[in-house]
Amino acid sequence: MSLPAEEPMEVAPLAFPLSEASVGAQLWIHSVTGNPRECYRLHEMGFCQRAELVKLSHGAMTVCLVCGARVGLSAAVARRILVTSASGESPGSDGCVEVEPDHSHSPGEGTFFCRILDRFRRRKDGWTG
Amino acid sequence: MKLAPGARECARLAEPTNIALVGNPNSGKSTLFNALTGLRQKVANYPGVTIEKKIGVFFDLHGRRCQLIDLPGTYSLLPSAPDEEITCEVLFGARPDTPVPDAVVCVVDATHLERGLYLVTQVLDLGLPAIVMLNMMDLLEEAGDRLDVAELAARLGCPVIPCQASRRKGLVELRTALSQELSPGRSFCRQCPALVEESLARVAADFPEERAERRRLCALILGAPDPQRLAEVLAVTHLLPSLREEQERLEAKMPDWRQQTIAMRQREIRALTAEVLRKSPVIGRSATDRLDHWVTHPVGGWLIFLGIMGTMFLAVFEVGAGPKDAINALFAASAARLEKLLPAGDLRDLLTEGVIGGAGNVIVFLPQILVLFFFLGLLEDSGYMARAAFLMDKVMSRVGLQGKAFIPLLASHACAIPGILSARTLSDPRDRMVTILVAPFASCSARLPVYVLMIAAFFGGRPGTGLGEAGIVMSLYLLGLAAAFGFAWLLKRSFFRGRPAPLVLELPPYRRPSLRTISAQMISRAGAFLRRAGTTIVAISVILWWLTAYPKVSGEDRSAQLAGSFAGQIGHWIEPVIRPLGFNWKIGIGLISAQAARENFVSTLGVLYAGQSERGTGPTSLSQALLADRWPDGRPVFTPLVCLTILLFFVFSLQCVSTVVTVRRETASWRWAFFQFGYMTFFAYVISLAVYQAGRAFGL
Repeated sequence: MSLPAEEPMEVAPLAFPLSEASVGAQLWIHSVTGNPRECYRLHEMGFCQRAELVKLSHGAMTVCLVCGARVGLSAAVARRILVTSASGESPGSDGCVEVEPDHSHSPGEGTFFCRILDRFRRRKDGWTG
Repeated sequence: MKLAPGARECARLAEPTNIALVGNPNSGKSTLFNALTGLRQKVANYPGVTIEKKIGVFFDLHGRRCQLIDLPGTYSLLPSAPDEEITCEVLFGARPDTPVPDAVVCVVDATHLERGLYLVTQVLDLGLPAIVMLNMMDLLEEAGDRLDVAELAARLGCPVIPCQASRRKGLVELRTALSQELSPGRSFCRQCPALVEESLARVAADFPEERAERRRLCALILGAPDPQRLAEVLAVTHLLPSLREEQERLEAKMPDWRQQTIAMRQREIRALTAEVLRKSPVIGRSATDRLDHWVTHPVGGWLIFLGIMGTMFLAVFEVGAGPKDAINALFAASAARLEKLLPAGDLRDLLTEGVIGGAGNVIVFLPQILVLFFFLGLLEDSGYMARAAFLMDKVMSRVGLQGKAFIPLLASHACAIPGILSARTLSDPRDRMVTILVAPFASCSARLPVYVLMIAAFFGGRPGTGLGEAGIVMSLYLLGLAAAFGFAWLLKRSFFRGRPAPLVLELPPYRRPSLRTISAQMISRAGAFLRRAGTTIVAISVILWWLTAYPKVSGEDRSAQLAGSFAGQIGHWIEPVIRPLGFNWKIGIGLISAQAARENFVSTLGVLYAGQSERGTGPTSLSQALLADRWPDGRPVFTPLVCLTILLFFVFSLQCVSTVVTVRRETASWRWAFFQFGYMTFFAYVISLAVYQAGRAFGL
């Protein structure tokens, strides 16, 4: 996995919840919110600031590849992990992996049912993007 | 007393070397444990199978006895659930019942090297001699990745052995490594942010001299969000004020100091992994990802889940029916032979009515129970269990539980006891307690004989269609789950208020289920079932037979004998309580004996109705005997409505002494064990009463 620049990420106007990321996207973790115990375990499992993850799918759960392992997250946890896009980095360098994107689950690009479900989710979360 | 050099050597050899087996959940520790010791610990393809320590013995190349301690999986030495606490306590030497390990074998899933090394580096920090076993190397090679094992060993400063525990590869190398002198582990990650280093130095200075070896744990205790429990385990509670002071100081100066500390370690591990592991440059969507797309689909996932459950119950009836009839015929022939061989009298009645009529009526259900275990084994070994947890997460969170709590509920379908024990994997104590209190609602295999017998009676003794029977059984299982969810909702809003813990679960890749593993589990389960049938159920059947046979009533009429017997007297005494449910005294006796184990209900009816069916034994004949039973006014006792009421009573009631004892042990309180028994029995009674009386009102 490649490492982003070492300078602190104090301002991240492009940070968004992992739940909103499209499937196949390579992302940097920006921050994890929640109570300290839960955050600590998530950090230990690799969800640390500036760690790279790849979102593999979302459905009943969000699956992502972090620290080389496939981890499933409930929708609530995926909303609490803020990420930034790593698309600017050169893929494939320094052990970084390329993943074929699965557009069938990308918001707005999936099946009819997924589009309806996605719209419903956004409305429920008060998301107006 | 001085020992001669030879005797000293013998004493040294006689003393076992204690080796702890640690690693992330689902990394293959128990598979390695079984391969080394020849034992048969349960293994499956989902995290959290091992929930307590298990000890086995093997010998190294010098013939020295090694005591291997298989420990529950953990991601870190800072425990977040009771099962992880066991692992940490053993490694810290803080468990009085377990010796301090002389060495640690860290099992790492080679396909998840970076994840596994986090725990390895923490173990190395403890200063214990360590060996890293890189399990599942075959999968790593299949993926086209290459690992420089020698470089990894050199960087970690400890032996690293590639292995494939399921095929017993790498065991000789491990024995060889254990036969050699192992040097204490050396810290791999020394760096912490400067401010944290300063705080660590201050806390370490406060460590008493006699506990100097535990100074290495300073970083762990300091980083803990709640250091109280860890300080208690390590017997350094006097450090708590200074620990909290340092934590507050760090919070003020560097709010994300914990994350920074973890991140520094992970950066080092990431750099090491990048150096030793050459990954295949392009990874497409794997078969696991493609399957997950459907298995966790919001609609498709549910259809698959219901399809799997439906197939399982259909197989229970369709596949299990043939062998069941064969065993049934065998018992019927045995009873007939005994009747011919032995003269009429108590001994013959005891054997034909007590033993065969009682235990035999339960044993005939073994094939169907084995089919159930086969399917549960397939689910566990394929990797589906973790997905089911996520599928259920939404439903579970509505009732206030995390999706992970569904794994204990699913495991309870085999037996409530392992289900209750696996609740140890839940991090939130309230979620754990609620899961324990509702787990027995999941229909365990002991209920299956009752269901099958009552469904046969429900269909009027005629063999029903497999689909219809499977549909009813599946409805009963779903009803049990619905009750579990309902009471979880109630408990989470009363005694155990709190938000459910978020669900984060490592997903194992789907694997072809190992028939060897599944059949080993089926054999073990069959053995346990037959042992129970051969001991508890035979004993209760014999006692019950005696209660039905004495005191002797003059005359040949069996009904008069039964009514006048001790069992009849007890049954008539409790009849007023159960009569409103449509149950007669014989059913009442069955319910009493079922308190020891649910299968006893069938064996009890087998004894009470022995001699009243066309053939002495067997479920078909027993169901016919039940249908022939009449109230004094000539009405049939076992109407479809009564059969349904009995089924509902068994779905909701807790009739298992072993479960009550296990709940007491897990909750450390008789209060909760009795509360659970009381509320489940009361609920079962109320529902059965309501259904029976409503049915009667509608003229059923």
